Amino acid sequence: MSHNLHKCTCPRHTAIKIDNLSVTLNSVKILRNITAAVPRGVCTAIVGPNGAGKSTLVKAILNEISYSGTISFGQDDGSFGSHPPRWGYVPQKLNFDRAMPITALEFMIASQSRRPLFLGSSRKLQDKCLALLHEVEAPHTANRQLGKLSGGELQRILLATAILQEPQILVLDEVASGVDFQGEKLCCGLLEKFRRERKFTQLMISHDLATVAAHAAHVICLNHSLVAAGHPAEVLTEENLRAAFGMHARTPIIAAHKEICICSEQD
Amino acid sequence: MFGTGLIEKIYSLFSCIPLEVLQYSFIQSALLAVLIAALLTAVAGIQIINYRMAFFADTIAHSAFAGAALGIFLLGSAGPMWFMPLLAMLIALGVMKLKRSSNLSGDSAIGVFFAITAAGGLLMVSKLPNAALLAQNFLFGDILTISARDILMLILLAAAYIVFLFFANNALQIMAIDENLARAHRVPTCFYSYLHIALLALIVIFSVRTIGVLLAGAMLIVPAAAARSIARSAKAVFYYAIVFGTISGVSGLLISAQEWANTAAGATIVIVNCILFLICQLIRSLQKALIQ
Repeated sequence: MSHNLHKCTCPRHTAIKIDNLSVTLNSVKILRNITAAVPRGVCTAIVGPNGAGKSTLVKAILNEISYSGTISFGQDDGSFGSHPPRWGYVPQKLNFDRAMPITALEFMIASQSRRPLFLGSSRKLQDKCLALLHEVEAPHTANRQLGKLSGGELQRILLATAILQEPQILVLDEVASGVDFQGEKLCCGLLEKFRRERKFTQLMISHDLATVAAHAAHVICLNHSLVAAGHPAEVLTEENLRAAFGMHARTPIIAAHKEICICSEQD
Repeated sequence: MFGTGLIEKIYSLFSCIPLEVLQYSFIQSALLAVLIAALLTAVAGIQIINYRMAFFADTIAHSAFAGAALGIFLLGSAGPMWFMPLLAMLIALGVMKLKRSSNLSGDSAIGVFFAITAAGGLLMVSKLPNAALLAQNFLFGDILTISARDILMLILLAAAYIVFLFFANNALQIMAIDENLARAHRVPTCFYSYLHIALLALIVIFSVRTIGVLLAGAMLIVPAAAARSIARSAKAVFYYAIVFGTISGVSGLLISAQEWANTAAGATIVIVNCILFLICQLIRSLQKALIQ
């Protein structure tokens, strides 16, 4: 029997379990009693209006802010534990000094290896990075300065850098924002491909409902508290969207997701 | 004392160089001190610019007054040696704490510390006998009277910083670009930040000894800034900065010791630094013009 991806909460198939999570920042309650789960091996989207606490939820998951409640991770031994998985993280944008001399290749190498950049790097690691740059269709950027790359190129470098970590869970913050349509399409396509090949769990923040509907297999919709969670078709209903976004939300066209819980693959 | 044998060997090496001034032992120690200080400040300067902390370097340099005066008040003439690095590190850690835990911008956090230490330091210095002489020593540095112990401290500091870079150079690089990213990559960002800023504070305070409060910041910033303007990779910046730093350190010192020049060593070093910087700017604009 294959069981429901959206209801399964066993530790082997749940990457992240969030229980009764609340976050208060500067005496403002940003998140209230969130209980949700991120299924393993598929793409989960966190949606909600601006200021709904999407980024805060991700920060809590990445243990960057203090919170009440529990966040646990499905471990390989089949139990939930607090030991965090290997993260891959793609920030929304880099707010850095664009005159900083560091090449895209050096950036990738520095994120992976301790050996100081000024001593060079191993051929093996260089080849690995170059291969990834080919996969994200940005091989021409390898020796270009990071600050001189376009938004889309930088986005792909960040994606390649995150993949280089061999993540168990890849977290993306508004990955397609600030990128043109072609760039967005490329980025989403690459993500699908990487996820299939490397079998990681993808967790992305988005306020673009069309992107979510097209790519996510599981959706967590919040506006300070949880509005709904589950299959995109069940979550992105007019009723829920009105509750989260207000009057003018429209139900996007939802792609038919064939992804099933990995339980059924293994059983 | 440990290490003095090595230092003596280096001096005898210097005296083989056919330059008249290098026969004087005080020039020999000055040259060794400048070599190490220039190397250290050039490398540290890269990170200082990456983290936009030029103002921080100046603040630490100015804390030398407060540290020295406090040391003299509490321990007499041996005091400054201990209290200058101690106060510098305390201020550095305080700045980092304020920067990490409050929404005060880095600049204003540092500005507050600058005000406290500079004013407090000058206040204490003004109460000391022979205040003017002390102040002048600190303002312009006193490289020609540098002691073997100072040089040994510089060598130890350089070794410590190099070891630190072997572990943390790449992590610092990623942290300068995006700290959240570094944290997601399991970099102990908090630990590295504090350790790094404490080491930078020591580097600044020891370069005050060689080049003075006013110009310590320049010795940190200018070689790295020059290197940055012509380098495209992190690796290139590292080596360019070292080359520029040591060239200007050595040639500045030797020029200042010539009879025809007879200038302040620190100022001469920084002037050579600035000339190199201008040349780099020139090369950069030529490169740009050629590309277009």
